[in-house]
Amino acid sequence: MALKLEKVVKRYGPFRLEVNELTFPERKYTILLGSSGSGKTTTLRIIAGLEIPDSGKIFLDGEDITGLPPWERDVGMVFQNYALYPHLTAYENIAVPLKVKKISDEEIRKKIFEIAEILGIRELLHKYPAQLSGGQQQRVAIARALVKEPKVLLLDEPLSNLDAKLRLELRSFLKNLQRELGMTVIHVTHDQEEAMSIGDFVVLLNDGKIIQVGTPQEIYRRPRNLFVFNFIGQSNVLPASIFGVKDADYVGFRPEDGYLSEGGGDIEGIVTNVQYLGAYKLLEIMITGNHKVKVRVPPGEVVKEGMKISVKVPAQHLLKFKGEELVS
Amino acid sequence: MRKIDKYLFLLALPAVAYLVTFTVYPILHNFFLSFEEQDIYGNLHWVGLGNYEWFKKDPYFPNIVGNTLLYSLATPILDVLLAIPLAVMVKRLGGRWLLLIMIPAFIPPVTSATAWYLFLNPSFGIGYYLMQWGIIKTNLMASKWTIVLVNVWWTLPTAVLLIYSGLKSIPKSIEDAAHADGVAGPRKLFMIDLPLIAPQVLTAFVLTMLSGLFTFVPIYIGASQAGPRILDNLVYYAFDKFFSGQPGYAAALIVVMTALSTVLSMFYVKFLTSRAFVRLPAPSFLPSKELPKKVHYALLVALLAFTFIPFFWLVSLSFKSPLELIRIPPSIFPEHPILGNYWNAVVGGLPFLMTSGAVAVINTLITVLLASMLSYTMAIHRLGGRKLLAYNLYLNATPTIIYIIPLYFILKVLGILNSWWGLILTYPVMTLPYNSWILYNYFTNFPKQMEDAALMDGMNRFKAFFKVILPLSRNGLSVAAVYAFLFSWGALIFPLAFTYTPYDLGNPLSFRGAQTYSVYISMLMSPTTRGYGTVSAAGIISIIPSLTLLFLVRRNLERFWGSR
Amino acid sequence: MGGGRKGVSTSVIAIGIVVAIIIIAGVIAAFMMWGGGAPTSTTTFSSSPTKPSASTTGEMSGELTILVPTGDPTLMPYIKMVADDFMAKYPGVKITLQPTPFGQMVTTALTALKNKNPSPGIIIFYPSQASTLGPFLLDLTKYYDSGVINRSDIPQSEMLPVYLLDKNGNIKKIFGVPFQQVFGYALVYRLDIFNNETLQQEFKARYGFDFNPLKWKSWEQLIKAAEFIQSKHLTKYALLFPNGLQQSIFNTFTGIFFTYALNDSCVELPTSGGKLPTYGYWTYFKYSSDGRLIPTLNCSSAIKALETYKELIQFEPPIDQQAMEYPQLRDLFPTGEFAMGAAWTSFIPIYNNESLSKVAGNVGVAPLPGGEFPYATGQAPTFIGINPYVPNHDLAVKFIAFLMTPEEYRKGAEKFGFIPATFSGLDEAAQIPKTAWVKPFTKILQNTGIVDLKRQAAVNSVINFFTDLKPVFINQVAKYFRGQQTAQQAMNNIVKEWLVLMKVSPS
Repeated sequence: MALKLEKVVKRYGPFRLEVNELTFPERKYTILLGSSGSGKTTTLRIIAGLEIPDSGKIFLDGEDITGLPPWERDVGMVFQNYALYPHLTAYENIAVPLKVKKISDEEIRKKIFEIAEILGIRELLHKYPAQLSGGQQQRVAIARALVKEPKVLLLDEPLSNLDAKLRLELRSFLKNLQRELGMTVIHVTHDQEEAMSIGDFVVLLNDGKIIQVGTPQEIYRRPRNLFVFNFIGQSNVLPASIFGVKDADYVGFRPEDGYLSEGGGDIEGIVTNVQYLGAYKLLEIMITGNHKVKVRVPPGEVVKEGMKISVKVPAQHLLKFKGEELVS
Repeated sequence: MRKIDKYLFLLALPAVAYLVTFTVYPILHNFFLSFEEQDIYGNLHWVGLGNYEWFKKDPYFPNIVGNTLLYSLATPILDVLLAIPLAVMVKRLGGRWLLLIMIPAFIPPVTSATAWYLFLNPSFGIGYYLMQWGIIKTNLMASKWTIVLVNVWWTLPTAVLLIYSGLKSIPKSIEDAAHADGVAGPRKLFMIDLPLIAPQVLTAFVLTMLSGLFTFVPIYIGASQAGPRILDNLVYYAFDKFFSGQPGYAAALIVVMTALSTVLSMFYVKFLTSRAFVRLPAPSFLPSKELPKKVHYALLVALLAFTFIPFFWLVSLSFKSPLELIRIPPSIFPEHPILGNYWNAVVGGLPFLMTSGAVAVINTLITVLLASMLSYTMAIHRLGGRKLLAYNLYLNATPTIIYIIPLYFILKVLGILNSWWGLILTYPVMTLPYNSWILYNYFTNFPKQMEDAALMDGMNRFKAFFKVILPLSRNGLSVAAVYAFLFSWGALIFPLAFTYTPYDLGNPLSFRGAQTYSVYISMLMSPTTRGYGTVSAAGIISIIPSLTLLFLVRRNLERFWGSR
Repeated sequence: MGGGRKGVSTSVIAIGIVVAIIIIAGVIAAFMMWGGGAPTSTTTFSSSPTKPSASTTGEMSGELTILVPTGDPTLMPYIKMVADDFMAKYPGVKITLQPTPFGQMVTTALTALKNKNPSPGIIIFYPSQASTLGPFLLDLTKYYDSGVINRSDIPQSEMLPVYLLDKNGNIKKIFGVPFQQVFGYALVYRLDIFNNETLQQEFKARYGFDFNPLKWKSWEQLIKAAEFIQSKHLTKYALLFPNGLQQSIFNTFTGIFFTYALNDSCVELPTSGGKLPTYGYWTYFKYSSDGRLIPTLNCSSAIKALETYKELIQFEPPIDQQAMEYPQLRDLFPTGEFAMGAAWTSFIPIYNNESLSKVAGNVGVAPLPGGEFPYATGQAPTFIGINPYVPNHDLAVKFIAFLMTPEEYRKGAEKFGFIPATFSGLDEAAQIPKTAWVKPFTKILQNTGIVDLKRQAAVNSVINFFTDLKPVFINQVAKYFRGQQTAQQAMNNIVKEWLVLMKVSPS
């Protein structure tokens, strides 16, 4: 059990973060996912020691670290805007945590070159932050956080300041790095796709509370409630009566779970919009009662706006909700 | 929890402890004194609210409160009204003009008031010609508006600087958006710029208001021409009463004055922390295109003339002989320029210059260090909250006279009267509150993540502060240092009270004898030498160090005030 | 983020307050131990904090710091000379001068005295500062009584400002010694004009009296002479007469008023045995039959005096263009634009200094309004007093006595034009060419004295005389000068306001 939060409460005016119990598994990549104001960054800062919880405890490897200041915790952190020291070169930036520990210059050199090698920034070490691109800055920031070999690495929205292409590249880079070094990583993001693609575990927060914890697969396939279902990926939610389901209020399914059926399906309607997205086409269908439904079809399927079609959803993919909650 | 926050507390402690030790007792002492009256034998008697009731009887009290309001409101109002178009002008014509415009703000206040006095003098100054040409009918030194004028001359540069910095800090994208929407020139100023820079405008207002509140020297000079109490404000009146046997009444006046300014300051703090947006009406007659550059150049010329004319006169006088100084009509340029005034001012003033320079430098370092530690914790960690901020502003609005007698006592007990140590120990009373306040404003915009990063790198808060925060804020600190230096260099009241001989050059390591250059200047105003020439030369010399510093930090100035 | 430290910051404040209280308590305790902080009764003469030590016969030794105002061209050099002579005579003694600008003297002296600091040990001050410093200076009565300071050599009227009386009008404390005489105002005039025989003859023919200030008998004669000079355009202005609004109006009126009060029973001037008091602020008050202090300014002589005053200031730029305060009197007469001027005698060395003045060597001096009727020339002696906390009182007194020996006075008059305050000193000065002008002034001192001590020192008991009453007076008179009210109205307003404002102590 690497890191554990117990009954942690933190208030800011009307906002209240409450984590009853949360364990981050060792050597895994955990994502804290939530929209802005959900409390994910606060949770991260509490772990770092930058915020002090109003009550509750934090354990690292079984040791209570609640009262420890950040500089005595064995935790590294990469900030959203990297927070590199603008007056120091990349090398000097990375050297800071080691110098504080009063390690010999020779040792520092060795460690920095080692980590720079891993991160592929050896040739950037003499540059100042202002001379580096966003991605390079980020690698330097990661190097700075890793060089002191922390037990836990915290990443605060590490990809949000990068352009789309770089972001995709860095996702796998981060994941591979974590695997290679066998690190315990906690990564904060508001991007659910990012969360699904690299997290071993995802912790979904909303309004200061943990809504669901699980693997990406679990969260996507077995969302605990309508909120999770809607938050993660694309979703269709319809009154249960449309599908003739009796023991639920609503039913939901993912667009990729529906398919066109020639002779009559579960629902029928008129295509109002067709989006060609390369790997597939996304249809928007208006069905009875003015409900809109999204369905994904193979790119070769011939569908035109205004066509009347019917859609079938296999029963095993149909999620049933009573009130907000999922019923199985 | 404790374990973490003791660091924050310890960072703030030196400044807080200093301020508590050196300001709380004098303020309380003053408060109690306001309920007492001194008899002719020097004994104090409790009179309850007697001093406060005397306000009703005092025939000049309404006039004095009115003058206080006039000086402390007309000064900032005029400053801000003038500074807005001037700042727009500087932005249009380029920041390089800023340096020239800033000069008056870096002249010690005594020198600037003296320059105006000598300039307006109806016998020996340009005032003679103004009267000959019928431009003025009466002696300008007798007018309350001259006092406002001298204040404006001295404070306008600060207002221009602040507002200009604000304008420069408006993101380019917003400017582009405004232009794309067809909003430009004066109309853009009202619709977009001014609402966005409201905090800077307000800060300019408060800073210049404090200068107006403390108006002293021009009143002292004008009193012989206008009549006693006619020009007085609360500070001057209190000073006069305090040193003429009515300390109790003076104390009551100071209580009123600080109460007044604290209320004003609280409004300011409230507005700044609320971060409310201001909307201004943009009347349709305002043109929505840039004014012709000619208009801006005309403004620049007018401003430079206003800035340099009294300054020019000071230079001219500094080269005149005693006999030429009293020539009527006065010569515009010195006819037989002499260097004797400079010789006196430098050679005679040497030990004084040494004390002033050394004490000002040391105090600047101490002040900036203590103030940065305090204001960083206040701004970033909200240490002390609004209460500490309010106390700080209160100190900024407290006249120095209440400190003189208590601080003298402390120096006496420590045995460091009339020594450099005595001045070094007491000067922060003048400079620390102001510096903490401007650095507080600066640090409010400082990226907190820098400290977070340092903490994550394993530094404790001390190390983070000294190794990361201080090096990163050196631009801001340099500006704060210039202000601290300016205050220390021009200080007059403390050295007058706490020192009595010039620096003992025969025994330099004793650091005894600590009269400063401003004391030297005020001693020069003696009839034997008819000091005007030497005073002018000394005034010019007194400007040099501050102007040098101004030149060095010129690039940081606008950034310092522009953030927010 | 970041607003969430409320609980923490409160505890920080709490710790801060505790620290603060400890510190404050410490400071207050220190104040208490040291003796009560604020100036209290320790300054009354019965409880001088230190005992006189060195016996007067033994070798003198010790250190002394003297607070000397800068601004008077003869004072500082004189004190320096005396200090050097004293140190030469007593090698064990070290004297340091602390020059202080006039405007800052009270601040500096009062701060030291209120804090019971032993330095400066000797303080020099002017009459208008006496009431402020007096309560905190050493009582010198016993030195006067024992003859260490020769009281009979000092013109009695000079002493008034340094007397503190009790309720019954008896002297409770004497806190200073007059040692330098400054006459104010004296009439200075350009000799080249007044020694011109053609002008003398023309003037005498037209007006019937001499064109010589030393022979004038009245204000009318002075005004006539000014009119004559103005009409002949001999100089740009005929008469420089003080009307500065900070101080001068208040001082100047005293002298004019006195010349009219001499013949006005309303003012009830005290006389006895042919001795006249010299004028002073005391003329502004008298005691009513029921023992109250009341202003005399609504007497007809005061109104007449004010009218004369206005006539005297017509020969210079109008008050709204340039009011004539101390610096103007000092700087304008040397320009040569004025034929006559009313001035402090301490300015004479400046007027006669070639590098500062265009009328150097061309200055005659006479009492005001003229040599035959010198009653508007008063005295504003400079005083010297002792800080009660200086370790060695006897040394300080010895220095003061030394300062006033005829030998030192003679040297001072010769070298610097210094004017002594004692009869013997003035005799010395009258024999030195540089200061011979003083001769006609000495007779003012000889015939004057203290006639009614209680009344003449009464001003000292009005604690807000300078701070509240003086401003009212000056501003009302200025309104009259500017033509905004009559002389009668001005005086009535002053009396009315004074009666409301006056604070008398002990009451």
